[in-house]
Amino acid sequence: MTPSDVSILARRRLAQLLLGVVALWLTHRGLAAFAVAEVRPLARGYSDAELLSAGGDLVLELVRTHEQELQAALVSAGVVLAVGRLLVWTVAFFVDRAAFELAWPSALGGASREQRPLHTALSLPLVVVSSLGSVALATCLLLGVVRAGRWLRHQDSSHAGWALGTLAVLSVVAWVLSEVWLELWRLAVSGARRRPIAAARSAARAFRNAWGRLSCTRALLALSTLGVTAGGVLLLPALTQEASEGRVWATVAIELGLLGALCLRAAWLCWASGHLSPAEFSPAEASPAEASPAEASPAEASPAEVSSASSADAAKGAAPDEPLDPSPDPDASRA
Amino acid sequence: MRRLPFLVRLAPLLFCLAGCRADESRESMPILLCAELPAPQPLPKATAHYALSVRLDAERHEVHGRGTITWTNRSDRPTSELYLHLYLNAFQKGSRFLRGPAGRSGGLVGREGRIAVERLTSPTFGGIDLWRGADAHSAGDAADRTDIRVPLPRPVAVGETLELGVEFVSVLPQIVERTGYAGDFHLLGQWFPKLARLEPDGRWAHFPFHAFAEFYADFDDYEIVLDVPARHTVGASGTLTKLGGAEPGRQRYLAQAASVIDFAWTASPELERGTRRLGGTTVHLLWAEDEPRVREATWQTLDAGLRELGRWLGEYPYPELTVVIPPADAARAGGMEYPSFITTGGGEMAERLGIRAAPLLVIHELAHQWFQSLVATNEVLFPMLDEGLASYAEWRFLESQYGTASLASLLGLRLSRTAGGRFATFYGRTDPVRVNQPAEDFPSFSALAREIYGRTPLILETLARTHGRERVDSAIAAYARRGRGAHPTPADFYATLAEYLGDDELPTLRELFDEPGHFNLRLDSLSTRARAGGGFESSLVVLREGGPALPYQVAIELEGGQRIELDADGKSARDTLVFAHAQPVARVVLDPAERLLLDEDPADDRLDPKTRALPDTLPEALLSVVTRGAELASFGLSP
Repeated sequence: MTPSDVSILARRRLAQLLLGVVALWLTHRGLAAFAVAEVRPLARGYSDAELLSAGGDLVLELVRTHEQELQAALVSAGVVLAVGRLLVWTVAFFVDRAAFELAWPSALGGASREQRPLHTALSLPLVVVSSLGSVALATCLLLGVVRAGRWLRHQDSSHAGWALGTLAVLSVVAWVLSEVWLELWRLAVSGARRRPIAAARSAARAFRNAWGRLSCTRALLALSTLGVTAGGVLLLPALTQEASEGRVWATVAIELGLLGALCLRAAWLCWASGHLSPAEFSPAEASPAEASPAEASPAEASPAEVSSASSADAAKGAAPDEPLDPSPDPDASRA
Repeated sequence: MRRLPFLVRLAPLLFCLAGCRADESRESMPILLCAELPAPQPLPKATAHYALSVRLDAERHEVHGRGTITWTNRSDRPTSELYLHLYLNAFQKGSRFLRGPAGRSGGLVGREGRIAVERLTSPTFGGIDLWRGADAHSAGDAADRTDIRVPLPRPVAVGETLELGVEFVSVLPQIVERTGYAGDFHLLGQWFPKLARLEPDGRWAHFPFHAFAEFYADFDDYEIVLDVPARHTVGASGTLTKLGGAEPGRQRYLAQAASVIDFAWTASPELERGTRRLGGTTVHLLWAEDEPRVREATWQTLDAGLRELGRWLGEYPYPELTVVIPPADAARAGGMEYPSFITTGGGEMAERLGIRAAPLLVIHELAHQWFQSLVATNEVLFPMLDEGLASYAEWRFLESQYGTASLASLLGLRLSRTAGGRFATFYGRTDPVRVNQPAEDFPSFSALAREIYGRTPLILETLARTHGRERVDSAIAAYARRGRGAHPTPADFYATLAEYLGDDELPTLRELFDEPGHFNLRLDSLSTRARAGGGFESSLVVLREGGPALPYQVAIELEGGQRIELDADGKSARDTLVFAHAQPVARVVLDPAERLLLDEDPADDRLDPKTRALPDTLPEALLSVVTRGAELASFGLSP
């Protein structure tokens, strides 16, 4: 593959990644619209001017008179948003893959297209389950901190605040570390098309080599996500402003914030993919189509070099020494 | 309580929906008074004089007291008995208080409280111990010891004065119903043997302490010597003067309060004191927690409250006022009123968020200085005249100060006290009960809270919006000024209201307060026919369920943006309003100015003539907020 081919491939994969980001954004929007569908008829008969008059009289009355329906609608919305995570994670799977492929544009350039659906079918559930696992871990940690807080409150100890603070910090650190490892594993499975065990080994190596940088960056990403969410919530009241200019600005700011945060996440995925050194991949897993010497770079990138390599470096031809396994399953090897 | 979690879950949504568009017409609602109002009545001569010397045992949380009570029979008849209220006994197992439905604080937790009278003598009766002949329990209630009859050897004649020597021990409970101790903090309310009130007709107004009501007393004078550990900060009803002659490690104070219906005090080493002169009143603020925002909000509310409520209800007559913000572990002691002594609360976080918890609590307790401390109504029989009017004064003050943001102002979102009060009144209300009934007759404290704290102000606010704010504000002002130092009844209150609203409103007032409240006005149907000369003629049917008859308005919105407003007196349960119009009707809105706050179901106040159901309009901006909120929730779930 010539440098020009690699460049074309990189641009194509950048486009795929951006498409994935937009798809993820639209997924969130679609889920939200679906989730609140039952709320719409409850507000029928009223205008914005009536419900948004300062003081909140009519809106409180509306809540009171439609309490049961509203409660049911909120439960439905919660269920839609919770179940909708499956859809979000599915789209995220393709974003992971696109991010990895952008990081290593030539690595999978010749991956046989017929093997992709099979790989997707097998690895998608794994990735979704791992996402569920990371949510479960975060929930357990959160509940643990809350329960510990309740318990400490009854201990009447002067160190209760410190103890709870330390526990909260440790929980956040534990979550960040596990999240980094899981993200690397997901990238290895969805992007590098590794088998789960091999992906775990790759993720572990990458994690061992750069866990500090990765964790700090991942923590910053989490903060940016929470910041964008909080900022968006703070902007919500502006959507009810009388002046349309204010409403438009608030809408644009919220949506740009979400898109920006999703782009940051994509960038993080690209950067994290760079830490998964293809030099460590087992040749036995490589597909014959991918293992063609013509496509393999003669240079063997060390993990450190790879981690500092940007996708642009990759686009310049810093392709992995050994090709990547296009399929994590035995069928692929047979092919 | 079962409903609370849903409300809590709903809170962020409510805040999002509470609206931020300024509505200038409702932005500020100052208290409006007519030019001529009666002057406040002077406080009456004391019926009893309590000269007690009490010692606080801070380790055992007990008060040992002795002294004299000088009482004069100011009724029209001789009496051969006394009634003493021993309200600390309410916090013993088996008491009426603990057997009945739980009150505000949910009942006793921890140590019980009690009061034991060790001696009650009178030189008039040769120094015999009258307590030996006292009943063992409250009249007709063998398990309760809060209302004790003491027979006298001979009747006390009309105008005769009786001197009683008394010794007692009060064992404080852990804080319950705003009385007791928590750690080193002591709040002493209902802590001494207190004489019941002898009515002019010679009947004793005595009652066991019930969880829903407690106050009804004569105007008395108090001179109490308080002996406390030296490191304790003390606050009390009336004025406080340091005395000498205390034992080592202790300090003595003289608290003097004239013409008050009760006496309460606090002592704690945790408390700090700030003193300011607000208008003509010296105000002492005692606090334990480092909550500068709560303190500042409390000072501001006290300053504006003394000024505004004084202008409205007649000047605050006592020279001093003590306000206590209890420590966090005694938060249940907050939110209580005694003459010239109140306890409040709030929370630093609420202030930071723009929720007016501290101002609300402060102004409510301050309003009690008028409604029950000065206008000394019988709370047990007529709780609406006590908590109900204090709540209305609180609503009015908050809305006059903060307008539509009188309950909360968070990031420009505003929630008014009236909206919050209306929501709380009707939320979960299933069986309507009367506003004006004895406290004990309410089935639960939440029912009492809905009717007394919620519906009473809603009735008055509805009257203000339908009959004129100045009339209602002036009527309340006249009632408070005339009733100062007296013991008025609902009849006096209705008469004063009718004086300002019109005598023909008296039946309406009686129906509003004395009948189980159920009121719903709704649009029933609209029929339109084309007129020969062009245009249309429509008949709109409006139905009223329940009562009373209140005037209302209907807005007819025509296609093309024109609007017709119709007024009706509401006297008929079925009104047919006929009107002519050039364009077809687009929407009908009943009570567009939201005057009828008693209307229980505003959802049936809108009509689409085509569908004969709710109009097909949607609040798009509001739904956009909800949708984007869900979008952010979906996004934020994966940090």
